[in-house]
Amino acid sequence: MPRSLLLLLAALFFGAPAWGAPGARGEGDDPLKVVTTIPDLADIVREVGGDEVEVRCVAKGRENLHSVRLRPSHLVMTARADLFVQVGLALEHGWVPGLLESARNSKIMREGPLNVGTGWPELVEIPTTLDRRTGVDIHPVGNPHVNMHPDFGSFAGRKIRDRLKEMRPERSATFDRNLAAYEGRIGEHRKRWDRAAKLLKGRKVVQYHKEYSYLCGANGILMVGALEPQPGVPPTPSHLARITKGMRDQGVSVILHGPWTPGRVAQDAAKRANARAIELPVMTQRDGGTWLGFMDGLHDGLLDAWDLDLDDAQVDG
Amino acid sequence: MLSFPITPLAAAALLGWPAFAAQAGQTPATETPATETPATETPASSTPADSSAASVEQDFPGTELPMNLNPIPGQAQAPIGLLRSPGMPRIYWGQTTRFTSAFNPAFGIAVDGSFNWADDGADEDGFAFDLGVAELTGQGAISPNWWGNFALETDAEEVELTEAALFYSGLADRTSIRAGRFFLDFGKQMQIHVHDLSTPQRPAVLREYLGTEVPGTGFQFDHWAPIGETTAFRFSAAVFGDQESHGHGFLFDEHDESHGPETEPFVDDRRDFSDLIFSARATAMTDIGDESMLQFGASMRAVPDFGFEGGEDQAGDALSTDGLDQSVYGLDLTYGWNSDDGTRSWTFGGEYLYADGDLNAEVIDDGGPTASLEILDTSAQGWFAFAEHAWNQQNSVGLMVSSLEKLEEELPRQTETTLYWSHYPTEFMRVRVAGIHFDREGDDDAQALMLQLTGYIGAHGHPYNW
Repeated sequence: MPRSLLLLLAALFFGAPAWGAPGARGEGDDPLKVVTTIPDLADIVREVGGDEVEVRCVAKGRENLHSVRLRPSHLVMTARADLFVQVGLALEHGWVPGLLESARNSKIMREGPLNVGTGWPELVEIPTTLDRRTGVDIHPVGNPHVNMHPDFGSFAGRKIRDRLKEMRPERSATFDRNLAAYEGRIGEHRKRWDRAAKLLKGRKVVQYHKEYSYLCGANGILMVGALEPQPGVPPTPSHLARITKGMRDQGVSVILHGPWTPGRVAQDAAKRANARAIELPVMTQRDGGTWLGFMDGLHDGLLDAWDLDLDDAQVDG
Repeated sequence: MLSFPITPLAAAALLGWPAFAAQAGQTPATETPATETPATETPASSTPADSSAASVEQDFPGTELPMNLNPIPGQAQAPIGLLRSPGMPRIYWGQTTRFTSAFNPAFGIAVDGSFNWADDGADEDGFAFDLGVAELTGQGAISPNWWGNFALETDAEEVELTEAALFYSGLADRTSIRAGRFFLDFGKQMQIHVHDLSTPQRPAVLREYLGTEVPGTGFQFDHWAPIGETTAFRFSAAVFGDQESHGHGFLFDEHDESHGPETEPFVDDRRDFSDLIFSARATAMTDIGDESMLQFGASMRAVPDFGFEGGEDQAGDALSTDGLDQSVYGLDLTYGWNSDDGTRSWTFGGEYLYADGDLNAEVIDDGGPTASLEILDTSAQGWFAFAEHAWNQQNSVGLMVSSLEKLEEELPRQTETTLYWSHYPTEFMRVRVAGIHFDREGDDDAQALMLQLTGYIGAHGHPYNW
């Protein structure tokens, strides 16, 4: 090996610590650089952090949350981040560990990402055994799609506020004030969601993938099945025959599916079951979307699925 | 009858340890105090609702203790059953006992095989079942900055240790080093095991110039740096003491005995540092808009001192020659596009390779009193290109073409064309159908059809880098 190559190797080895100096990250009065996995969290971090944070997000808003495609800019933003925020609960298990390992941001690796879903009070669909025979998308601690529950904004906001206070204790009052204002706005929207829930309660749906369980559960909608025979397993003809027959027998008129699932399969199943296939988003849209707007849209979508009009209905409250 | 003197210490060890444990306030390994709760702590700031589920999650290694990892009180410093007397090795049981697997690595199994038909254009054709590889992998963290892995592979004829390395990431941000046995970082493909490739086999030019799989024992430095907001640049440099150019072969890679006995490269066990194998790679990838990315890279591997061996002379002595050197250089380019919802994609890629030096050896035996090894000291070049389209999450189709100057006298050109369809019933299972055509200058064409089945059981993973 030429001597010059040896010298280059030595320079790389001993020079590396200097390149890794965290000067690019937010320090002092600079806004904290925060990277979130989904736009819902980006919006909530902005609400709570205000001018103290500079937020970037990985997912765009239409992907399967379990397998978001990563690009070089995601690597760069994660390497420079002061804080990485994810839902957790194994929602982003397919891509976040690899992203964090590749980014090699020692601060994030040392302190870990903020998992806002940790401690969610009412996890559903918790597997009794971890066995691939019961499905492919097996989430060990339960269904992780908690971002569609009406309580998520406040729950995540508090987790984010607490972490920001740890990182910028001198700004604690600001974070408290921002969260209080945000929760106040959530409360305003919540009144409308609660009225919608009264109209939706007791109705039955089939999902393509069980990602609307928290949304349906919070609205009293009964989930009678899924087009996927087991989580993560594509629908089989025999399963579709069974599920569509069951829908007809039980009078289920709505199939919910996400933007990333094959809409044609849902449409075909709906046709066979004399039902409607309704596409609903699974997260906030990154460009300009807010979590409150996302939740408003979800409730409007559910009302539309059954041709319900909140303004015309006589609903208390 | 044999009798053994029993020392007081041994007797105590054999008979008395429960009493000792009781005196020390310890609890036997299988018991956990009734009041003990999982070790995960609920943050003080959590709401009451937090505590109801906080004990059952681990989202990312190192951030929270999963359930059942709580140390058993009193045993962290006093493992049961063995006593470390002066001069004995240090014993690491990871704050548990030697019978507790809580800190064990994650193990995975991969099985890759095919049912195929091949016609090599000469006298051999027909059907075959091939176990491409059965692989056992293990990987786990040693500390916050260290982790390790291994991979054992077998094709049912021999077992090979293809990976066994330790990785350190505490040097600096975006930097890692690894030491042990690991795959050559060359181009987009060579660090990837064949069963994980998106193509049915390693492109012919890589098989010919580098090997189907090239694990080596050595040391590698790896660093990446951001350039602006949307570009990442990475380079690696590695030194190897040895490196194998092996693999499970492919349909047409069997040695052709008509060209004489097979020759194998070898390196001496100990050499000057400057004679060790050296490899390096530099690559950059950048966003193109919001849905695409482009990556290009340059790679090299230099083998400054090696030899060939194979065949034997009339006296029955093995033939060998040494003091040889060769280098391989590569340039690669890859473009990827993903739809907004992540379900559809296009990938285009290719790599050009240039090999120079002592590239091969052939046994010259004209029936006379002597036989010798003739070294192919020349330069050769080749390339591969592929296009792949996934139209949903379960299905993709691809076309790969590889053309090269084969490392034989006269450097005959070969072109391999592969058309393949990959179907993923689930993310842990792949069924692939492929048709392959081999156009060989100076030789008959060959073709093959294959039905490939690959399954992943448990935690599958290798230290691939972008």
